Amino acid sequence: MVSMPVKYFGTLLNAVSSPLRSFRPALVNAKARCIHTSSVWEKESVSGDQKSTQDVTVTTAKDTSIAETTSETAPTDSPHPMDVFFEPKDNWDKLDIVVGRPWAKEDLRLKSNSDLHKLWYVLLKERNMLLTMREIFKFNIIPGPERLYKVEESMKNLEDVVRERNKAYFELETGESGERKCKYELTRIGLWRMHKMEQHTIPKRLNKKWLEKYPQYIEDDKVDEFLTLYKEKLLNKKKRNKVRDRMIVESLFRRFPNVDKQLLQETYPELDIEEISKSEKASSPTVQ
Amino acid sequence: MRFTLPLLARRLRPPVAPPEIKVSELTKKYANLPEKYIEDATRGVTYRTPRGINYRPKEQRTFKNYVGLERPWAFESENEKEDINYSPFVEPLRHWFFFKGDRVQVLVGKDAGKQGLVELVIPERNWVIVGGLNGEVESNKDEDGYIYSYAYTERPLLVPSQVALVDPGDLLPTEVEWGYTETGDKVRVSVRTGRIIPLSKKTEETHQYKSPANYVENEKDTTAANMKVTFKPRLTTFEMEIAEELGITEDRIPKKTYWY
Repeated sequence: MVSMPVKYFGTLLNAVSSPLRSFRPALVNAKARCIHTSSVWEKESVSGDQKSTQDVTVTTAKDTSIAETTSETAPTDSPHPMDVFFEPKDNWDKLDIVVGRPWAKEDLRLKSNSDLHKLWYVLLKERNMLLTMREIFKFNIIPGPERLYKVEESMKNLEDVVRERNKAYFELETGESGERKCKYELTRIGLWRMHKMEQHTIPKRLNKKWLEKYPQYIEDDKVDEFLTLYKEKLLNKKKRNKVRDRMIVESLFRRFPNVDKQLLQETYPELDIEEISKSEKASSPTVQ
Repeated sequence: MRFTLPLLARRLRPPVAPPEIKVSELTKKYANLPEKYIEDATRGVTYRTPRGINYRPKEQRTFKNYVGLERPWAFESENEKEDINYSPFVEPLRHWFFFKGDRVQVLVGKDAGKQGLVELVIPERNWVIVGGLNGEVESNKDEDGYIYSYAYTERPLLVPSQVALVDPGDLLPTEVEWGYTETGDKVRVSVRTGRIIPLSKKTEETHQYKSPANYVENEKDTTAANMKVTFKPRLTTFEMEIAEELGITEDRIPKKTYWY
């Protein structure tokens, strides 16, 4: 959900507060911020804008006869059906909207299939509403930004529970989980790849398009050459990481001489911690 | 010779960067937010490449491997400041004993020997802030240099060396270890006297409410009355049961297909 189809703006993105950057203000140890002080002014301005918009609608209604009839028939206080797609009006003034936790798997397992089917559409509507609000608050601070994450988590949990039930049925009846199969395949370059299998109307040997897309592995000198170079690259990376880890451990010993050696050995199993602790770099009194 | 000397001089390697700081489970519990949200908020992800084979998985983020006094997911936190190019080394600890509301004795500084209550815990830096102790008085000045107020701000204390937990029996600092009671609860035990050090009620506190009983339910929240068991086990899949309810019958015979 994080990946938005935004064009690349370069360094401008850092200056703009996108919805992901508009995080909840810290209540603990938070200093006074200009946003909180300006809330009163914002409310006044909002109410003023609403009045002005209402006036505009009234004046336009007098000009056209159709609009007059609609305004007379539709009661003013009843909620508009399109309001479902936006935040409820009570939450407009709030800086922070607090909601409960997402649906856990244990809660969803209690519910019947038809209930889950209904709940899915409730969550889908909520997610749709939150996405529109995120688009509206694109250059502002959105209240309660974690709601979208909570809805998505509960949707994911719901899907998992449905899959669980279907799996139980298929394993009992057919002996297989009725899910999409995966397997490891060798690519043309000689590297292993996870392949998610797909449904086709013709067999593999006749499907030229598929064979072009996923070329099979053939023994070749160039492939061997590539693989040796690739392995060398990986090994060099491993060595460099080991040197970096050693330097980290040395600097830790310099700063905290009474550090837990066993814990360091568990976190860095490739290094010999006792040998490093006796070395000069670990024991020097000057802090880097 | 003097022209070649700078070429011969060995270039100094830059100081090694410490490993990336992870948000601890204690702060996650305090946050009461989804884990993915905390991850995204701490990193400050502004842009992420879309999924697809034509994109390299990459993200544009503002996190600089620094966690300070402010919460990592906070708006306009210190993580986003451009001045901080400093990333601290943190001593790895096997166990964590300090929680909110604990009675604690300061061992270092001008307030050494005094006891106070823990206000804030930051396990990412091994920091503890004790209320009213180990602080500094700062003056807030006008543009003209006129002092209009003073503020007392507490400074953090390093956990293993500068602060110690207090035994509730004799009110003296002790070493602590984790133990289990006969019922199987995990408790802190003082090494000197063997007395249990209980957790305070402030550990239940989260970013949004002081205790779960105080939480005010929203309109869209599901209440406890709605959480009844409606599931009845049947030998059908999810799709079959829904189709049965809606009156959909499937008579079509599927064509032969190949999976690869």
